[in-house]
Amino acid sequence: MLGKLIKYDILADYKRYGIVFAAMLLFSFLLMALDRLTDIFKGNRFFAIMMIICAVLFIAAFIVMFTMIMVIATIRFYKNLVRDEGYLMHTLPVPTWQLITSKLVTTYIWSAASVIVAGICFGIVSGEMLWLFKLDIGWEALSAAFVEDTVNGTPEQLRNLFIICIVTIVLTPGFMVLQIYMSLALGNLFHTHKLGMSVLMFFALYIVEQILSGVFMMFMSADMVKYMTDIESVVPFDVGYKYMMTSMYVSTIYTVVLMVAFFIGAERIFSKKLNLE
Amino acid sequence: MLVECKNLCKTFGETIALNNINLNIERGKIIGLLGPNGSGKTTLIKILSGLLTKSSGEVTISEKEIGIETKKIVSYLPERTYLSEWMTVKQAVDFFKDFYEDFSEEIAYSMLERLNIKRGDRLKTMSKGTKEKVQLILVMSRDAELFLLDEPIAGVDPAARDYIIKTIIGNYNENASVIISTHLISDVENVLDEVIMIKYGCLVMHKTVDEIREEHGKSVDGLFREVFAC
Repeated sequence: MLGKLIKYDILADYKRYGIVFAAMLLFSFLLMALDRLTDIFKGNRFFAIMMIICAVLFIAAFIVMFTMIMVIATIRFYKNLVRDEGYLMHTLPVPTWQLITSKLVTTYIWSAASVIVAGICFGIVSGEMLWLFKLDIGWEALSAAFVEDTVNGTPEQLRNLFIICIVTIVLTPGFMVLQIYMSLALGNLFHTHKLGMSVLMFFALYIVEQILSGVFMMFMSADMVKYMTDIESVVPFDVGYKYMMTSMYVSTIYTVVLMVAFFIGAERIFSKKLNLE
Repeated sequence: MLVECKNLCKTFGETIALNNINLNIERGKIIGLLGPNGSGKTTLIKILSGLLTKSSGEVTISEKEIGIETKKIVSYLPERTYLSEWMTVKQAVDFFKDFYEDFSEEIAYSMLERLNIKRGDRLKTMSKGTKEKVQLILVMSRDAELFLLDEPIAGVDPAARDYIIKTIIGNYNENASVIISTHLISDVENVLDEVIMIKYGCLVMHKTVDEIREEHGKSVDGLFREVFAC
């Protein structure tokens, strides 16, 4: 049943994403063409201005594309599970966790599709469509620079840093949508002004998680704070790296714990306290 | 017994929506669920459909607690449009076929064709009345054991009401029961086997239509006006 739910969640939004992806590709080709034309007609102000405009639009489209994922995920969840469509969705013979998981998985699918489209656009604009296959060369250069700049740094440290950054990037959309789902679920508990209460709940959750995160970090990095507050001191690379990695690991675990809490919270509310009026 | 409610209660904060409801519904009946606004009709239907959880008491459908298993055998029509606007008629039919094992695509399309509703028609461009008909057709195209229809004829013209009532009568089998919540009693009175009347969340009457006529010498509509006179 989860597969079927995901299918309909994708069908609901594929046209919206299709338009944005098409616009992204169009801007990429335009930018590439203008770049060539500027090279051919050197000193031509028209092409130069057009290229700047197109570049600005291209960056704007990028921002719109990644912002849109969260906006669409929120609208879809709200309309499909909290508003009138919820009368159908919550009477389907499927468990509530599948309804939420379907929305979460769909957000990840569209996020992945957006990253792929962004990669293709980058390839078009740079004129190097096979850039992905040449990442190993870039990685070697980055590794060498890291070892040289950090004096004591090793390629393994760079790899660990890279992995934790990727994990953080992968968790981010899931964390954001689950926080939104939890806020909408909490807002659903009120008899009036549900949407307004959901927005309020979102900020309340944000403040609580920031306070908790601050407290965690203070305990975890007490020694690091000493270094940072002492202007005279120079933080040795190994110490800095250790604290950075520790704080990133703690932050990742904290994010996962919050994601699980938001998921279970939303699931429990929609299972036991559904209030569609 | 198809539906059994024992001491069923539902409260929303301080408000009592259903108060100690004891109710048994047999198979093969069309039952009118009647009561004024705010009497608890929709709350009862929502509990049976699994949209609301009871506060206390017991409620079973086909001897199963309300949950995924009962959702498989209950076909629910709410008093509002619940189909996604982005869908075409075909996608809405596919949706029901994908999620309900007892859904008959053939029955749905034959009813849709009779109304000249095409597979490619978009729900977004349809009138409210047409959307409601599509929704009713989808709900009635299931071979469910219990049909819960919340105000199915409210807000539609008299011709559409006749079509809806014919569709309801023509598409349920003798192993199933239909619960129709409505204010428009005179329109459905002739098809009802039983009547359940609810007032302020309490069950005030559960009788067959014949009993009402014999005991009270009145039509269901006439009795309703008497019981719920303001």
